[in-house]
Parts: sequence; C-alpha cells; structure tokens
Amino acid sequence: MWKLKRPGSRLSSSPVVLLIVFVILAIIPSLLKNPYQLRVLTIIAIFIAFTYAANIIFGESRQLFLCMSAISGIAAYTSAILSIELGLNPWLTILIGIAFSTAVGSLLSYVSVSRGLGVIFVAIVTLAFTLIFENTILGLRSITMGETGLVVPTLWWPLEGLFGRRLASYYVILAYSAIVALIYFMLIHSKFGMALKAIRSDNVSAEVIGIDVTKHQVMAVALGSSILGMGGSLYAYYQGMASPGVFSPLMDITIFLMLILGGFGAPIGPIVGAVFIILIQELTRGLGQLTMTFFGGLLVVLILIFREGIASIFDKVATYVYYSKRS
Amino acid sequence: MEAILSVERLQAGYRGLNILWDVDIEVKEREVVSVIGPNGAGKTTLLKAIFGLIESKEGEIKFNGVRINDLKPHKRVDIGLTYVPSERELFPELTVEENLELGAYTKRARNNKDNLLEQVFEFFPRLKERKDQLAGTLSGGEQQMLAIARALMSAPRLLLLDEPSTGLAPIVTLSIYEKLKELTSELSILIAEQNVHQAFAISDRIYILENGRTVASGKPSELSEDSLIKSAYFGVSE
Amino acid sequence: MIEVLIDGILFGLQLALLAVGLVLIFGLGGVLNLAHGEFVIITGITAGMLSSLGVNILISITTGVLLAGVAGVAMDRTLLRPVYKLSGEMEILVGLFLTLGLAAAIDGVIAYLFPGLHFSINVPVEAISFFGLAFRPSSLIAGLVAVISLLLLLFFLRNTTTGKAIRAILQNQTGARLCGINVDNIRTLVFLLGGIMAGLAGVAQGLSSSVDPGAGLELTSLALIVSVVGGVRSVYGAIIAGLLLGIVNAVVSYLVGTYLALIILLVVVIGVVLFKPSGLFARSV
Repeated sequence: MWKLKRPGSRLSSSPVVLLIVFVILAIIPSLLKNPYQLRVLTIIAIFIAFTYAANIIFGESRQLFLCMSAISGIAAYTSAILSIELGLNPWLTILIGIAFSTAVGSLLSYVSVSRGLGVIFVAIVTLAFTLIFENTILGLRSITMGETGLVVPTLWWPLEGLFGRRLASYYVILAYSAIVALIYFMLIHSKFGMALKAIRSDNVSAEVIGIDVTKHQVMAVALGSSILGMGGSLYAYYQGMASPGVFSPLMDITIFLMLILGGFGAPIGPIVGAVFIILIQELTRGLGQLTMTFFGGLLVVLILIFREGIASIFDKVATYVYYSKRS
Repeated sequence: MEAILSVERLQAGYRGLNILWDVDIEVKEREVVSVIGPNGAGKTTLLKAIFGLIESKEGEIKFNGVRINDLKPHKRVDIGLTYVPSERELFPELTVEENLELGAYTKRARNNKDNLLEQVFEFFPRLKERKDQLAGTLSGGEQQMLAIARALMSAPRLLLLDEPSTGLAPIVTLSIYEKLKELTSELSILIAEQNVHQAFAISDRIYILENGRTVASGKPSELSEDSLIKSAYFGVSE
Repeated sequence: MIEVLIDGILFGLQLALLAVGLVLIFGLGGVLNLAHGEFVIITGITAGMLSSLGVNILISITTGVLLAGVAGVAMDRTLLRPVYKLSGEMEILVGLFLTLGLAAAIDGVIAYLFPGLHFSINVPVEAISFFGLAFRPSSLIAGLVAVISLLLLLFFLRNTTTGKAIRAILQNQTGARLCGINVDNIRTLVFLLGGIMAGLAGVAQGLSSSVDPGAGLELTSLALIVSVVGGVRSVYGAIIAGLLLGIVNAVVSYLVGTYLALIILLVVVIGVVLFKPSGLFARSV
C-alpha cells in the first residue's frame, strides 16, 4: 500500500503535467465569478503545500507525525504575536516563526529517531505534542486570545497594487505551493531522496551502506516543518486570524486524507488530494457537523479500498486510453 | 498399521514464494518418523503447514483419514495434533503450571486436565519441582521439556517436533530424546531434525527433504548404507 | 483539599477503566484503538437519554454499557477484519487510520444529533456524610461501580481459563495458537470487554459529573496517556497509572489551573515514552 512505484513514464510523475496543472491553477481566477470561489481556490493552494509537507514527512520519510497542525500553528502564532507585541514587519516575523516550527519539528524527529521509537510511540509523542500546543494556546489567553482566536496584523502582499488584495494573496500562495511542489520533485530525484527511500525500505541496511539515518530523517522533518510553518503563517495572514480551531487535529486528519486520496509518492498526488477534499468540504458545508462524519467515513473507505490513491487511478485510465488508441 | 498422518503432493510457502514443492509423508500409529535435510530444505515449513500455521496451496493433508487442509490450528489441536516449534513459544511470564494448564485448553483436554497434569509431572519430575516458577526463568533444557509437556497436555495423538535439540547441550539433548522414546508407547511423533545421529537413533523411519521435495525415505538401517546420504548429512550437524 | 483528592481518585478510576480496555485491545488485536473514547460517549448518551425518558435507571445504565460492548464487537468483526491480515508497521498504520476515521465519523454524527448537550445520570438518593465530609451519593456509587468492575476484571484475568488465555495471547500469540486457543474469538471477547469497561467509565462519569458528547477524542488521548505511562501491555500498570494520573491531575489543576496541569501530564508522557518506553509500572498483565 504505502509502497512507491515511480517509473518515469507515469503521467502522475511527469514534471510537464505538474507544470500544466499549476498554469491551469493560475488561469482559473480569470474564469471565476465571485470572491467566494477565489477564496476556496486559495485554501486549496495552501493545502497543496501542507500536503507536500506531509508527503515528505510521512510519505518519503515514514514518520507518523500527528502534529502537523501544531507545527504550522507555531509559526503562525509566533509571527502574529511578535508582530503585535513588538510591532515588527510580519514578513520578518514569519521567518522567525518558520525557524521556530523547524526547530520544534526537528527536535521531535531527533528524539524519536535517536531513541528508535516505533510508529506507535512516534504517534503518541506527536499527538501529545498537539494537545500541548492546543492547551498552551488556550492557557495563554492573555496573549493568544484563547479559543476566540488572535486577530493578526495586515500583511502586505507583493503585487497587491497590481491585482488587488484578494488576487495578489492567491498568486503569492499559489507561487508558494508551486515552489514547494518543485522542491518535492527535486527532492525525490536527488541523492537525499534516494537515501530516504533506502531508509524507508530497510533502515538497518541503509545504515550499513553508510547513510546517516538520523540526519536524513531529521532533515526530512525539518524541511517538512518549514513548509508547514510558512504555509501556516500565510494561512493565518490570509484569514486575518490565527485560532486553535484552525490549527486543530482536524487539520491533521484533512491533510492525511489529501495525502492518502492523492496517493503517496506521486508528485501530483497532493494537488489531486487537496482539490478533491477542499471541494468536497465546500460542497458538503450544508451538512454541518456531518462533514466530520463524511470525512471520517471517507478516510475509512480510502484506507480499505483505495490505498494507492486517486493519482494512480488516473495513471491506469491514461494507460488504458493510450493503449486502446494504439490498437 | 493405520496411517495417522498422510501428506500427499503438498505444496506450501509464503505469499508468492513456494517452499514446499512436492512432499509426501506418512506417519503410522505409534511410529516415530524424522524428516531430515539441510538448512532451508523446508522442514519447519512442512511442520507449520501440517499444523496449519501456513496455508497449503496444493496437495492433501489427512489426519486419521480425514482431510484437514482447511482446519484452523486450534481445531487441529482439538482433533489430536500438536506442534512444538524450535522457538518453543512459551508464555514467559506465566508459571510453569499455568503454561501447562493452557496446554489443556481444548474442551476435550480440559475435562481431563488434572489427570493429564499428574501424568506430565510424573513424566517430567523436574517440572513439578518448578511448577510455581515463571517459565521465562527456566533453563534451556527445562524450557524444551515444558514446551513438550505443554503439548502433551492437549492429549495429542501426533506430536510434531521441530529441532528439539536447538540450543541445548548434547547431554541435555540426549535426555530429551530418551524421554521422547518413552512417549512412543502412547502416540506418534514426527520430528524435523538436523541432528542426524539423534534422528537415526530414535526413528522408525526417516524422510530426506531437499529443496522442498522428499527425495528419499526408509528405515535408518537402509538409509545409512546409502553413501550419498552419508556424505551429505553425516558429520555436517556434529 | 480532601475533596480534590477524592475527585482525583474518581477521575483516576475512570481513566483506569478506559485504559485497561485500550491495553487489552492493543495487546490482542495490534490495534491502537483511537475510537476508544467513543464507547464512553455511546454509553453516556444512551443511559442519559433513557433515564431522562423515565426508564428505570438500572435498565438505562445496563443498556448503555451493553451497547458500548456491542459496538466493540461490531468493530472487531467488521471494520478491523482487514487489519488482522496485515503485519508489522502496516498493521499498526492501517489500524490507526481506520479507528481515527471511525472516531471522526461517530463524533460528527453525535455533534449533529446532540449539539452542545451534556448527559448525566441522576440518582435519587440523599447526600451522605462521613466524618464530617459530605459525599454526593452518585459520586460514591460511581466510585463503587469503577472499583468493583476493575476488581472483577482482575479476578477474571487471574483465575479463569479464558482470562489466562487472554494473558497467554498478550505474551505470545503463536504459543496461544499452539495450545489450541481460538485467538480470533478471544480477541472479539476482548473488544466486548473493552467496550464494556469504557462504557462503565461512561457510567461513572455520568454519575459523578456529566458526559460531554464532543469529548471522544480527548478521552481517547487520556486513555492513551495512561496506558503509555502504565506500560502499553500491562493491565495492572494501566490501573495504577490511571489512579496516579487522576490524582496528580486533580491536585495540579487545583494548584495551577487545568491547562497547565494537562500540559504537565503530557510532558510527563513524552518523558516516559522517551526514557522508559516499557512504562513506569510495566508488569505482566
């Protein structure tokens, strides 16, 4: 199931397809009629970046981090609080926030890898960390505003004079997720990516052939965490608010759903997953709390039936069309 | 004599990988039969398949004339089959007595538990001395005794034994084998063994397994004359 | 202060009831049941609703508890079937994701049907006082229910053949198969037990305070914390750790506030996982 098959000829792994998808995502706003649709598209773009991060941490490096929401929330809150309390430029504080997220993620990874924790214990430690984050936010009510959420300062988005705030923030976020996709693509074709793959299939033999397992695992999480931190900050500034309701375990479930739906290891997977899940979320908004039921059920069905993800189904269809045309 | 176990053209293995290709084996009432062969020949796989821990893909396993290919292991214990793997698989943090009690878990054995326990303790007085000790604290030889004793608690008709000499000093192995010989008045035994000398000494008949196939069989006296077998097996295991 | 201690013990007993089921299910099924807290909610809602409709209190409670047990059995026999065919890391991951999905699905339905409601079970008895301390009778009953259930469970595991079979499987699954133990059936029994024990935790909670239908995942996390501190495979450990953490939580909350208390507990858990992963009170069964 979580095995990666990545022959070069596959559609879902092609860089050209990746490029085309991002071009399409860049064109779509000109076809949209209302700000609501643009808003949905922006959230899709943010979650694309989140899901790539999950694909690096869990998909490539096989570390079950159930605290992705907390890691991205740390950057968002750090940046917002520093900007509010010290009056610093948000872009500057975002960098500080990312440094924080990266440090926390790396530390969690370092202790779990160096203590040789099994998947269960990594899950428990990271889940505990998620709850620590949540309770810290709730406990430090005077500076975080507790469950109401913290109103963040206004961020100046590049090009906002040209496109207007809404469109500019969309393009900045889309550019960010495109860069993340590129980083992921380069990662899996690099020596670093090969090393992660070796560790994934057998970390003892990886160690034997001279791969520093701890270093590689920690670096993968560090990379994933900085992507999550940046994404979380952009998300908060885009929404105008950081709240524990946004950076909650539900966000982790959503990201895992996207990852599983899109399929592990397929470079286009996170995009497919994010588009589908966010659209479903919007379409089922009328269900109220039942959305959660829907997502829970979807997770179960995906795990039981489609462990390879939708991207691989696209591949199968494409292969089928290709061969049926030739014959 | 009636065959208690007959294995015909058996194929078995793990997912996608066959280990047994073509195995024919028969064990008669009150007979001791050994399967010998080099490491990796499939001896353990054969015993596991007979006990049902590995699914058989082709061929037949008959116990007492009834096909048992599709029975789950616990049902096989119920009809009188039992298996002592080389790992022994004891419950380290239960006492010796509790281990034995669980050996008599099936309904058939449970009703006769006290009797069986008495018999087993008589047979292995050493275990009676240590009955309140945790199984994990026993010596290797005692653990092997306990594993065999636990299997006997299910009142079996056929005992499958995998490498009972594993990890034991030669003198301990000898005493275990002497005990096994005493058992043959009651039940049949199928042993997988690398220790060829012991196998030859105790067995009525011997099968030779190679690359998942039975390549020869016969009485120890017939087989030991065969020079091929001598060169292939004698001495290797010493 | 004594009231705080008593609250802590009561909460600790509830945690213990939750955690023993989690430990048994993990030990026998290889599934870390992230939907474990939902059993509490199922019982709390059922018992609370029935009793508010005027159904006899004992019948309400029994129905609620049995329903949690049935939910456990249903989980084992349907949803988790595919997990048992897997092994190693895969088994754990698939089990985690399936139970997480189930928990989310149940949470959604409950939040939809009972938004913002809390369920409690009212016992029509006067307050009792001992040595000048006033006890709410419902709290007293809750404590008794918990203590008796835990003692019964321990007796069952120690002294019955089936109980010994459960301990045997916890120690060595292959060994259990060799003895002719039907591991599948025993596992189903353990899901039934786990559901019932968690359901009893729900009863204790409904009696002493109230059951919050939205707290499923939180209860699961608490049970996880307790089972980790107790040693993931130890029933005794889970009981001791439950009591200890319940008391510590109550005292620390009283002294420094609930958020900080929970954070301290969580840090302790991470410390235990990192430095003593076998748990503080690990012991067989």
